[in-house]
Amino acid sequence: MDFDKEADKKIKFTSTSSKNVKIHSTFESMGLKPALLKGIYGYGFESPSAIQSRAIVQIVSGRDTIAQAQSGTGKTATFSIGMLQVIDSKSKDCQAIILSPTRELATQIQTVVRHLGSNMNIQTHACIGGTHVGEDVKKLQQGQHVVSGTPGRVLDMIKRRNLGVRQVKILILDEADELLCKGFKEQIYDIYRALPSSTQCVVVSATLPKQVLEMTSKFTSDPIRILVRQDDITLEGIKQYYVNCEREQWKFDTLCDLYDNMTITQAVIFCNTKQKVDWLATQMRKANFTVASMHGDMKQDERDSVMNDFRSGASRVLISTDVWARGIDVQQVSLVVNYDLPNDKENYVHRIGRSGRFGRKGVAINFTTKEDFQVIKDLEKHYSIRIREMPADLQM
Amino acid sequence: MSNEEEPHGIRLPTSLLDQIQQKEDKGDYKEDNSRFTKFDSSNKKRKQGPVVSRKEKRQQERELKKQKRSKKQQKAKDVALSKRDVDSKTKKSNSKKSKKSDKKKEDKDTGKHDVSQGLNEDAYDSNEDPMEELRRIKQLKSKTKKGSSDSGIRIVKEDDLKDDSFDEDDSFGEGEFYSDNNEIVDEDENLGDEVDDNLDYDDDDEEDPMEQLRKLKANSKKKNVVQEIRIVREDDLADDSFDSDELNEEEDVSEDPMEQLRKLKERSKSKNVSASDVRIVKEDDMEEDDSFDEDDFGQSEELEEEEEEEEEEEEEEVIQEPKEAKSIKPVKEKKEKKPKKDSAHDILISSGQLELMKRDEDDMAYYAKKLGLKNGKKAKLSKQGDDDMIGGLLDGLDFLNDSYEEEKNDSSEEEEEEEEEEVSSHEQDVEDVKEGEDNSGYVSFDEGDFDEDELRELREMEELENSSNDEQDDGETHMVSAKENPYMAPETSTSGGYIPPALRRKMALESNDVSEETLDLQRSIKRQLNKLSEANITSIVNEVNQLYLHNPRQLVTENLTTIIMDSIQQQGRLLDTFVYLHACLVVAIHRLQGVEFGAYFIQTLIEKVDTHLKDLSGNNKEISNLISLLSSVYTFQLISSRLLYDLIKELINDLNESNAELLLRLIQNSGNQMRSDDPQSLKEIILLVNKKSSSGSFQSNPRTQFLIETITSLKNNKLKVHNEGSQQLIIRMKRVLGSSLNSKNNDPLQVSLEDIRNVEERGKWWLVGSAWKGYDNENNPVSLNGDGLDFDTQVLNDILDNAEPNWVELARSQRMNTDIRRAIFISIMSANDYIDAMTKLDKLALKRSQEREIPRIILHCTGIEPIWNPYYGVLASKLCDSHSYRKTFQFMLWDLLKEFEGADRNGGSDDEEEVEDFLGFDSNSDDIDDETKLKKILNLGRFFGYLLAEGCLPLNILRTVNFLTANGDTLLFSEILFITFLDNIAKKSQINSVGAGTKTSIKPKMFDVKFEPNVMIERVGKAQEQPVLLKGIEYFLSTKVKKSAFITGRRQRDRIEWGISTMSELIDNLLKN
Repeated sequence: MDFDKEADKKIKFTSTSSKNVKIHSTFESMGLKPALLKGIYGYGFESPSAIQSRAIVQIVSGRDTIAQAQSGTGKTATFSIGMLQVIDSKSKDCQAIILSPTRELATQIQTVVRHLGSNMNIQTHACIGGTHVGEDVKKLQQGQHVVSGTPGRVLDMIKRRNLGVRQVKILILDEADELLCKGFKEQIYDIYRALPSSTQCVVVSATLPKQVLEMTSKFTSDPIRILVRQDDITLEGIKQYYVNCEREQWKFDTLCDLYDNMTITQAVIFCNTKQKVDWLATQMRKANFTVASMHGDMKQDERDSVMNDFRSGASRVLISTDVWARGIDVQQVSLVVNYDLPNDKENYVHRIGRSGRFGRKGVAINFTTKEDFQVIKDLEKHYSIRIREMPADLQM
Repeated sequence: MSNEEEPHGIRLPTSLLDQIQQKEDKGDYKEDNSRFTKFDSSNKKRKQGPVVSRKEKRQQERELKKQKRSKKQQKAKDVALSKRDVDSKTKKSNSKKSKKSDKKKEDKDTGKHDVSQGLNEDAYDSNEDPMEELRRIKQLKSKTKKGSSDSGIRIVKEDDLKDDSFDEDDSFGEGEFYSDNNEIVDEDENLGDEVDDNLDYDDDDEEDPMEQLRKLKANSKKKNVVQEIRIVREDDLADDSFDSDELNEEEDVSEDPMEQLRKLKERSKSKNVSASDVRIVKEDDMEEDDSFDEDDFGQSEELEEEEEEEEEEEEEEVIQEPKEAKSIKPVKEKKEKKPKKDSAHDILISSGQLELMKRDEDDMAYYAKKLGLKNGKKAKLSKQGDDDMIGGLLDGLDFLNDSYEEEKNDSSEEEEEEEEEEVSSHEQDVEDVKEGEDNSGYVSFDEGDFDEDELRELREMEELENSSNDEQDDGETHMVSAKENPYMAPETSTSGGYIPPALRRKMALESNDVSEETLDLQRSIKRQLNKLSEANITSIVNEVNQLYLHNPRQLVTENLTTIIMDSIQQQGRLLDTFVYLHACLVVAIHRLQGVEFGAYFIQTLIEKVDTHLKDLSGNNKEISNLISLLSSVYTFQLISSRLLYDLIKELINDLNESNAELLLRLIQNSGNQMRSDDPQSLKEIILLVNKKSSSGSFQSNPRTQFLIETITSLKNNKLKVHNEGSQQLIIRMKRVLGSSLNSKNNDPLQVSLEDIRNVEERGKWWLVGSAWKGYDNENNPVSLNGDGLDFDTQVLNDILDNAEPNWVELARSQRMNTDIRRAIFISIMSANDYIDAMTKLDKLALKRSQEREIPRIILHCTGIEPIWNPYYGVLASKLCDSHSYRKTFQFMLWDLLKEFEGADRNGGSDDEEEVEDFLGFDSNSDDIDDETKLKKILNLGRFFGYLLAEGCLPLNILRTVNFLTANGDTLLFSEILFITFLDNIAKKSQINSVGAGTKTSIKPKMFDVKFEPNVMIERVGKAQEQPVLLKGIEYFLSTKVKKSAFITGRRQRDRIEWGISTMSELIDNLLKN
């Protein structure tokens, strides 16, 4: 994993308190334990991301922290590192509880923590629903420094007194918006009440709607807030082009031609309708592409698995409708194709904005028909950008 | 006037002028801009309001205009006027609509060409005036002609401008708007001028004389003085004339003289202030203007004279010629503009012969279309002008009055400060601008660039314009459709745009020396590579492999390599998946297509890595991606670990932050595999790292520390796989490689970094006979280098001593001619001890028949060892736990004995030969290799003696030996065998007195060594069924062994003697029974 430092500098941190936050440009400068540092290097981190460079030290300092950053910026690692720095591996008690909205996420976090703490003799347990309670009990009795879990099971374990919370130093709410929206509110309150009053609370999320912020105020006291501005999606650094395909039915050939002439690592193709998404996916599969497609009719977990496929590189093309435009952030996407121009001007920035997030250079290509010129012009005006005709020798 | 102007003219040499003109011909757009800005600044100066922004100025101008116009309106209230208004308004609306549908680029282009056109026209018109006025009554419509001819010239400029404008767009994103504004101003003015001219026509004769006078003066100036100034004046003159026109309207003709005076003053002022600027500005236009001057004059008499102009322009752009001619004709005939457009196209095609540039042609076509439109509009304009020009002029005034109310507020105080004289000049400008905007269709193309003010105006205009007549509607639709077409042209023709495949191919063919096949090939490779994913890798490998069938192999290899490199060598960090997939593809192709591809790929890859390593400034993401690729092709066994070790050594020797990162990546990705492939090299690496770290500058750096720890954990085989996902992927990919592909080229390439780097000198390392020869040559000079000789050989020896033997080579040299034999050989030879060897042999999971090879190889190894190595004996005794091994050893022994006999008697049968051959006993080379043979006999004798003593083999297997008649070899062998046998038995049976066990070596004489006969009884008991053997042994022991010269040392002699006596006793007992 790596992050563009230059671009990180550009990211603005809005909240007033975060202006005082010291930025550590290297992991070394954060004063972390050597064993933890080894784990960090071993995990493949080279230098901290924007959120990591700011939040880790705050978490270590013991203050309640609210950290917001987009997905893909290393949030999980942020609180994992901060937490591991605080934990005392000599004591066998549970010292940190991480709550996340889904079981998969909880397991994932456990894996991350285990990797990061691989040199530290840290015991981590994923305490999630849908598993055998006896297993959990057994594991917890062995003594786990970190418990990553979903609220329901964790609360259950606490209530059964299988999970001792006397020594818990830190409570982490990952994806807090999801957690608080998904009806975990009560359970989280209960867990929070069970914890010692001195427990540090860390709230991490991609988005922090107002209601969530209000609720977090109940958990936290004088929190330090590190918030990335919400509307930070930018068109900066994204080269935007249009290709005049003249007719709707010529777009597919144009797409294939693009694939013949450029080197495209991963691409997202946006269509306006579900039918078109399906149609295009079929067409591309016929052409031997490995395609992932996604639209609003799919269930959340289906979408998640599609996204995972795409993120892991199992598929190199993602075809989607606007429904999911805001949720896609894949680092290596080099190209966004607007197979149809967005109906809504706002969606334009959501569609292509991501490809250039955090300073990553991106290319966006709009397919236009005869009728679309006005739309292009409007977009240009609306965002005061230039959408130029695609040059013949475009390279990613 | 002339006095004032002449100095200016003289100031600028004509040569300089020419240069500038040439520049203009080339269409240096930036100059245009500067020109405009300069012109503008001159305006500023004139106005004495340098601080005022352009917008403000324009607002002021507009206001002034409006003021004037309102006056006019008040004076002239004709019904015809109102009609005009309506017409013009509808036109405006047309123009507005067209604007909106336009793209920005288009806007700019049109804007620009309008500007240029306008500028031309400025000068042109003004030049023309004197002559025209003479003819004016006769030729009222000559204006339109000129307009069309102007447009012809315009084309020239537009072509140039378009390209330039692209550049500009690229370089100045924001600057565009700025310059656009400038353009608009100028444009407006120009158009205004045009209109003014029209006004001139319509003005009364009263006015004419005055103008005539003025223009004549101007003409005379032109002729007398340098052209630039003339032109500047002309502009002014045009303005002046316009002023006068308006004044005429406002007041009476009698005022003209006054105006003239005023204008003269202005002129002088402006020139004094900004003479040079203005000059330069205008000069650019001058060339065309000049030509037009001539043309105009010619036109006044005969239109043929235009050909001169055309010739002049031919020099600039040859292609215009026909168009202009065409464009003039229709005007003459007063045809409509559509046909004209078509004709222009035709001529375009015919003008293909000129073929300056294809692209230019396309551009021409595009603009011709546009032009045709404009001409059409113009024609309309002029028509209307014919009827009542003033009406047309005053069209916009209505709304101007409206907007004036608003803009009044905006007007700055500067305006008030302006002196009376300047006001008049302002009025000119302002009117120019306004009228240009209002009346001309093309100005409206620039809506995108308009200021807010202008937009507001336009909106107001829209509100005003509710009525439109059919004719205008037609015009509108025509315009729209015509504007759609031009969009197509640039797509296919402009250099900046996305170009359809066919055309692009053609262009590439022309521009590069790349052949069409190559391009096709590249495209098909890219097509496949862009699709590459885990699910379809097999089919894509097949597709790419197919390419080799239809294209030159080397071409495919090169292009495939380049494209893969390009896609790997990226700025950002790539997904592991991505790299592994590409590596898998490479390895698959290598296996299918042979070593050429794999070798070429590796060669290129290492070269790239090298260049990146040397270029420290480079992005290290690129190189780390390349390193990932390298380590993943190693994972798929395209290359051996040697290359990686070489690279690692190099990186360690030059250890820094970025290199540490690369090292880390290499080790994490392929450390485990490297460890198992070549542990010896790993040891070297670790030593090197330790040396480096102890010498120490980089201890402080946690990253390098981590690196060292990683390497250490690799040494201790504790390195963890940190990405399970990609490990899974690797396993799946290996399966793909293993399953679907033939195993023709499965061996990894044994290339070293040195081979790759010295490919120039030594030749291609992957071609047999090319590289290794060079390698030898390389080494010899080094060792023969005189002074360095001793040192070098010593180092060489050290290296050789330390170096882990290359087992495969060694196996080959030992004539291990099958895979199984090689495997067994390597297992035995590379084992740390006999247990290790046993496990390794077990791992081979040999079949029963294959197992028989093991004893053979052990025997072989024993035989070739320079001295007896008990390792083989121990190993063999372990193996003898299994019956089959025991039997095999037994047969081996018999074969051996038979061979000893046969070698002397009859040269051996086929069976014997086989064994001989394998065991390395070459009966034919006995005399040559006597010592070796002797060595083998001794070793084997000890070997079997040991086995017998250990009880692994029963003594009765010796039954085939005829001790009485045995020949030399057999006797020797037996002698050694028995000595070893007895010695070992004695050792086993030895009973030490208390404390003697440890002290025997110190005081051997003080204790009698005692032996237990149990072991001997057991061993001899095995042979009790073989009395002949027993007798033979007894005989042999007493005759040969007892006196054997092989017995060394007193202690051994003691043991042997005991052995002989005990054994003889036992045999006697047995025989008695």
